[in-house]
Amino acid sequence: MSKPFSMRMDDDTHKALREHAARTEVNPSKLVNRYVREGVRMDKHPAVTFRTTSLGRRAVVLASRPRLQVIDVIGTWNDNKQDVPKTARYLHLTEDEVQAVLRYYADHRDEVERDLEDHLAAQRNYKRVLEQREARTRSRAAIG
Amino acid sequence: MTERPELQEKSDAALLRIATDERRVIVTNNVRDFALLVETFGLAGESQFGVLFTHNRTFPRTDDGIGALVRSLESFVAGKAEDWLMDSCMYLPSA
Repeated sequence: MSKPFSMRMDDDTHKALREHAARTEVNPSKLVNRYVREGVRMDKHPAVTFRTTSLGRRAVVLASRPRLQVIDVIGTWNDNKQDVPKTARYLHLTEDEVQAVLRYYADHRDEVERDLEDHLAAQRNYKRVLEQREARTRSRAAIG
Repeated sequence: MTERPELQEKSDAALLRIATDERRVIVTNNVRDFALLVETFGLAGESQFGVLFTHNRTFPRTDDGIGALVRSLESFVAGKAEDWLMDSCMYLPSA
C-alpha cells in the first residue's frame, strides 16, 4: 500500500537521484521511498544501517561491523538464551551495541523475525538440495 | 573477520575472491547469500576455493557451539587435500 506524496527537491539532489536511479536501474520514486524508510530508521537507531546484498537490502550493525546483520545478533541472542553479555562476547560487540540492536528489533520485530526465518529456511532447504544432488550422483554412479 | 577489519567493508563476492586468492575456504552460516554466490561463480566460470556451510541447529552460536565447530573443522580437514572443496560447497558435518 502506498500513498502519493509531493515534495520539492533542489536541482543538484534531483540530478544525482536521476543519475543514480538510472545507474542502478531502480525507479527514482522507489529509491526515494527506500532512502526515507531507511533514513528514518537510522535516525532512530544510529547503531543500525543498511547494505545491499545479492538478494536485496539488509539491516546491519553499523559501528565497525558492517558485515554483521541484525538477524545475526538476534539469532545469537536467541541461541544464548537472550543473554546480552554472552551475545556481545560471542560477536565481539559491546553490550551497548547489542542493546541498540535489541531496540531496533523491538521496533521492527515482525520484519526481523521474518528475515531470520528466511535465513534459517535457506539453511534447511539448501542442505536438502545438496543431499538430494549427492544421492542422485551416487545412484547414477552405482547404475553406471 | 574480526582480526581483519579491512574485510568488513567487502562485499560477499569480493570476500570469496580474496579467500580464493589466499587459498582459503569460507565457513559461513549465511547460506542465503553464499549459496547464490557459489552458483553465480559457477555460471560465470569463475573459480572459488570452496564454501563450507554451517547450520545453526548443528552449530549454535554459543561458546559451546564454537568448541563443536572447531572440533568438526579439525575432523573435516584431516586427510583431505587443501583444494578438496575447490569450486564447490557443502555442509560441515558434526564431529
